[in-house]
Amino acid sequence: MSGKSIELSDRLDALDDFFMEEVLSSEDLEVDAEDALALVLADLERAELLLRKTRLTEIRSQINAERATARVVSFDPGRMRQRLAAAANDPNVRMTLAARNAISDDGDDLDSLLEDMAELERDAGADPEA
Amino acid sequence: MHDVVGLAEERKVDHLSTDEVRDALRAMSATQAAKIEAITRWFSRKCNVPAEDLRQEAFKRLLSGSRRFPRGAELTVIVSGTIRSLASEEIEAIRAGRRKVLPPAGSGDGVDLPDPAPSPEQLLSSSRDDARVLAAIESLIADDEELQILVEGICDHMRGRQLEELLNVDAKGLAAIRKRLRRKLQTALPGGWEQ
Repeated sequence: MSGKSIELSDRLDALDDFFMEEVLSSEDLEVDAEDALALVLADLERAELLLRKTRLTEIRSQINAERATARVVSFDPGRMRQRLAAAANDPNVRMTLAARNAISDDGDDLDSLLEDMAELERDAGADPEA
Repeated sequence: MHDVVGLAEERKVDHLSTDEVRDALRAMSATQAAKIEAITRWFSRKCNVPAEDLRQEAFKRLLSGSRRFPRGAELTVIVSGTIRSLASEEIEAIRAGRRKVLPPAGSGDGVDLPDPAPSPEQLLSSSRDDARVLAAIESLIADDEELQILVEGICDHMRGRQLEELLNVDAKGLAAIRKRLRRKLQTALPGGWEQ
C-alpha cells in the first residue's frame, strides 16, 4: 500500500477501535435486543450445523482414504495350520486349550485365527519361514 | 532458571474447551447479542461480506477451537475481535485479488478474476474504498462540528483527556459526544457505505 492508503487505513482502524469500544461499553444500543438475540442465535445454530457437516465430510474422506489404502492379507492356510500346530506343541506359547486342539464349533473361528496370525506376521514385518 | 519457568507457567493462559465455548455462546444475553449484531454490521459494511456470514464464520472458528477463547474473557469482546479479524482477512483477500470484485450497485454481477494478482485498478479501487468510507462518514457528520472534531481526534489516536481538551468538554460531555457519534455510525447507511 502507498503512504496515502496506509494513512487512510490507519484512520479507519482508529474509527473501528472507537466504534467497538463505544458499543461494547454501552448498555443501551437503542435497538431491539430480543430481535438481535434471535438473529445471532440463529447464526450460532447455523454455524454448529455447518461445523457438523464439515466434520462428517472429513470423517467420510478419512474412511474412504483408509479403505483405498487397506492392504489385502494373502496367506497359505496349510502353512498357517502347520505353524499353529507347532505353536500348540510349544509349552512356552500361551494359548487356550481350545486353540491348542484347534477345537471350534464354527470353522470360521479357525479361519479367523489363521488370518489373525497372518496379519501379525505381516505387521511384524518379518516371516521367519519366508 | 527456576524463576523463569515459574513465570512462564503463570503466564500460560487457560482457554475454554470447545464444549464450554458452545455453552457460553448459547447462553449469551439479549444485550450481548445486540452488541455483537451492531459490531458485525459495522464490519460487514467495511468488508462487503453479509453480516450473517461474518457471524457464522466467527462462531465456526470459536466452536472448532481454531480461534481460542481465554477463560474469564468477556464473550462480546472475543466474538467482536474474531469478527474484526475476519473482516481484515477479507479486506486483505480483496486487495490480493483473491475475491470477486464487487461492482457498484446496479451495474450487474460480480466478475471472477482468473489472475490472483491484484490489478493496478484493484489496488487503486481498494485504496479508494477506504477514502470512500471516510468520505461517507464525513458526510454523515457534516452538520455537526463537534462530531467532526471528535472524528479528527480519534483518527489522530487521541484518547480521554486529550479529546476532552480538544473539544473543550469534561468527561461527561465527551461521553455524550462519543455516544452521539456512535449512534450516527450505528444507524446510518444500513446497507453499506456505498449508499
